[in-house]
Amino acid sequence: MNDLTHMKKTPQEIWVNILTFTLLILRMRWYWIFLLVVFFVQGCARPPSTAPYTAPAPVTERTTVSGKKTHAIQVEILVSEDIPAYTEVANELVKLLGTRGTLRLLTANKLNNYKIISKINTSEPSQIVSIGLNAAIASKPLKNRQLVFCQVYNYQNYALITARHKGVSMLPSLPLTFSTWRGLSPGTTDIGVISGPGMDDVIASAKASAKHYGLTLHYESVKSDKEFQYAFKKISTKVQGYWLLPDNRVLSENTLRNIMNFSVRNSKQVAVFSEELLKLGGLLSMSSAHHDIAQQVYERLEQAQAKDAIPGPDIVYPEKMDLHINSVMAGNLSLEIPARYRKFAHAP
Amino acid sequence: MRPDLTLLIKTPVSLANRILALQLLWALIVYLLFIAALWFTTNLVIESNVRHQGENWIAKLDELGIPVYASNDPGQLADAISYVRNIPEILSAQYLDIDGKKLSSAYQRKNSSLGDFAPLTEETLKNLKRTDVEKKAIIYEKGKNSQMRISAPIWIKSIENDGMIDFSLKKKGSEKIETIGFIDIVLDYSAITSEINRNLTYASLIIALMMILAAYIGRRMVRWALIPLSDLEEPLTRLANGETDVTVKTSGDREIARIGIALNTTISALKQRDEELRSMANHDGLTGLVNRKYFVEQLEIEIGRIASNNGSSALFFFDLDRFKYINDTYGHATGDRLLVQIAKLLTQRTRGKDLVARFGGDEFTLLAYNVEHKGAIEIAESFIQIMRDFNFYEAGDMLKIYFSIGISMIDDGTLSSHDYLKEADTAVHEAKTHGRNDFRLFKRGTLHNAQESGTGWHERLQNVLLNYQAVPYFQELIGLKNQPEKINEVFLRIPDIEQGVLRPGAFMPAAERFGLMGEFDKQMIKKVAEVLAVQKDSNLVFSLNLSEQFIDDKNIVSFLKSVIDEHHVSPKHFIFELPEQHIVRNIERLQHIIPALSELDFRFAIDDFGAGFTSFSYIKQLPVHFLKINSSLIDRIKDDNIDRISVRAIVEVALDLNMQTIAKFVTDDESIAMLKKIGIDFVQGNFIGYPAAQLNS
Repeated sequence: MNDLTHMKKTPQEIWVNILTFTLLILRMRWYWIFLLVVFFVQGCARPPSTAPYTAPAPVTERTTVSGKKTHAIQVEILVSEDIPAYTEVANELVKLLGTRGTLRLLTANKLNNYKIISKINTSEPSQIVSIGLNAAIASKPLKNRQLVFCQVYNYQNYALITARHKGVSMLPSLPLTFSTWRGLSPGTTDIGVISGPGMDDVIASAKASAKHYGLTLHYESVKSDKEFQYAFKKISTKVQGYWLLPDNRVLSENTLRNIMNFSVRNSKQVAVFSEELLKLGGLLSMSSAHHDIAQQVYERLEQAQAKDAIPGPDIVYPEKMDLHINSVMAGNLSLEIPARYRKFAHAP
Repeated sequence: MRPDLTLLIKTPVSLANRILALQLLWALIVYLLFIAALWFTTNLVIESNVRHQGENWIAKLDELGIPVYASNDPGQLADAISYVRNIPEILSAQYLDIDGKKLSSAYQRKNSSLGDFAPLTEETLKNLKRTDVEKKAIIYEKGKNSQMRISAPIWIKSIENDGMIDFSLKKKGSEKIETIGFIDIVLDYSAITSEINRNLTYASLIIALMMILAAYIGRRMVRWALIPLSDLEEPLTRLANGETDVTVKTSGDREIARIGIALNTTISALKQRDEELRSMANHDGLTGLVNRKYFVEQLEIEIGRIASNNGSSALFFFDLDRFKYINDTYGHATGDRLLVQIAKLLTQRTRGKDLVARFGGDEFTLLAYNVEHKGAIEIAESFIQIMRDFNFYEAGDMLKIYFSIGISMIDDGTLSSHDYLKEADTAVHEAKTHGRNDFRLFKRGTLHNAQESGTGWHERLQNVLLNYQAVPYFQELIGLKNQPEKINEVFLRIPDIEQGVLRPGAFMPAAERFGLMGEFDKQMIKKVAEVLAVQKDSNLVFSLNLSEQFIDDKNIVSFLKSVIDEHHVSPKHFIFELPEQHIVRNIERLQHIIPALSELDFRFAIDDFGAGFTSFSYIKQLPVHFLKINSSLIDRIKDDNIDRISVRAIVEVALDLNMQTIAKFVTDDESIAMLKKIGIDFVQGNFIGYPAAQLNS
């Protein structure tokens, strides 16, 4: 159970339960009464905790600590959705920010979201963290506030980058990505990568990093899942592996299954963005770690505090990642997993 | 059966053929249904397969068409064209954009002609564009000549925003679908259809051949199964042809065995009934002796035998003397009893091989086989002696009954049965003429008195009838109650050279034997009608005796009508007398005739009423007008109290039933006075007046 959904009973509720049990006892036989007494002793011997719950709950507006104000600027953390990929990052951020952070969970109700954004806009100056695309899009109107978004892949599509609005990539560090792959499969030289349009800067960075590790990146820009499949097969003769980016615009479940099948049949290595896809034949999955994303966001906020704009590149990449290696596929592809990676290897 | 009717009657169809015809008809129906179902199903399967195959081709074209949509370059169509070129069923293929416009020039197979498929309508495109469905909407359109057009949308899918965050293969329904164009292909599956139809034709022929073979085997089996039934045909045909010496097999199948048993039972019953009928047809019901018909048949057989083997037999003709007297005096039942006793006597005293027959009323015949002249005379003498010893007892009286016997020797194969009977008849008349209780042997070549012989009587009586020479004699009845009606009984006489006229006793047996009495009665009725027509006396009434032969005439009513119409006389002038014995023998017919003629105003009298014990029963059954009391009661009325009481009783009954009574054979005035006192209406007798040719007016 995550912290945002934790539920607690109040003392009033406990006493109501006691009264209910008493009434039941009056109607029960002696051995049932005995059992109930045992349960009562077990249950009520521990009185409910009265300590404050420190973890942030998914409420629309809640301050982490109702104490005295600090001199540091407040941070409004906008969470797109109550899913672990967002809430874990949010929780990590709250830990890092301490009393400065305020969590706000957006919902599907756009009007409600608009009210939240308007309220932030009219309140004291604060920094904004948008976790997820919905939160990033919703907070676009907060142009005068320093904003760091994360867990957003297609930020170019929505023109999220400004001088005050910058992000932390959901992809792990590109050098780390390619160094890991090279380390796992030293013989790999050509890698294919396919994505929707508008990913030129990411691809340029990736190509540079890949080249650094002796890899050539073959890129195809497509507009649909069908084109994705077509391009995937088209470049198959040139590459030994594919770097699968989480571009939802050109990927469908069917396409994912088809290309993974194709890869398996054609002994292609596929680096995937989710551990789930290892089950379909991915060789390795590389995703950024939530605490690292939070750390990167925190650092960007800290760097920007005294400034107008957010310093540094438009997007920074988390330096750490979650690595999982499909030992079965590695075996199928005749790859000897180096000792340093063996702890990440397993059969999906 | 009329020949023209035989043409109309259809020859019955054999059961085996009928079963076979039904079997064939059923097989034909099943065959046609099967072929139709096979053809229908096959076409459905072909169409379904074509659709399914078309969907696969569409899916492949969907994949191959991606470069076209990605680049908007028709040149990218090469893969798709090379793909469809290898599929002969695809006549044409084209990619359409989202508005239904062609993205490139459509592919069409060379030397092919497309059916008239209209461009996709907006409505069709709208349906194809739908993405809120689980499966793509594919539209099939059947054309002529086994062509089918298949139109399908081209979908692209993408995972929703943020779908890659927290990606899971288990999550469903989080994809966006967009239609980017359409694929439109036309398929020609005529080759498949032709191939299948050709195979179907071969299959049909094979099935038909198999069914013919099955029908042939079935025919053999049905015929084999119906053999027991066919075996019944021959005995049943024989049975239908009248043969009863038929036995039907009762072995084999249970059902057939039961039929056989039932038929055998029926045949036995038929045989028994046949024998009974034959016996009834050949025997006399009263005496149990063979009848005239059978006797004549046997006589002819014997004549034939003698004609071929020589030898001789004897034909005896017995005529009972005084039988009419006994019948009239003691009644019909007594007469019958006498006949039975005589039959018994004759049977007991003849050899087992000889044949005794009742030839007529009181006539018997005997065919004695292998008898010479001498033996025949001995037989005749023995019968004369038997009759001398025979006494017939009735009502306390002992009566002597005698035979007159005529003998004809059967020793000439050229003569017919009729000739021999005539000879015997002549001989018996000679015997009667010479004093009765005697016999005569007919001697061929000897001159017989034609008038006394049967042969003579026949010709003579025929002549009398042909020449309308019957003579009516009238005897007046005296009314004892001053009645205005003047009744005369009419007696039949025939002309005779020696005696002037002959009485009925002389010629009536011959007339009855030769079946001429009915004609004599008719002549007498006509003559009486002529008298009435001349006399024109409204009170004049004639009473005539009717013979049984006249009563037997089916046209009696129409005859009498024609007579009264012809002579313009009223039926009320006629009274017809019927003796009790005639009534007894013809009661059923008289029950129809008397009411019918009474309705016309003819009247009837029962003659010799009171002679038998059953007299009273007849007046309940017959609506007669007169009771003519038997002479035996009138004879002794003066002296016998019983007779007097009897007559009185008859008169009382007659009065109650509105009938009139006639007493005949009155002998004196005293009797007349007594009868008058009793209430008799009319008296009659020679005492009053003899019958005369002239009417006593």
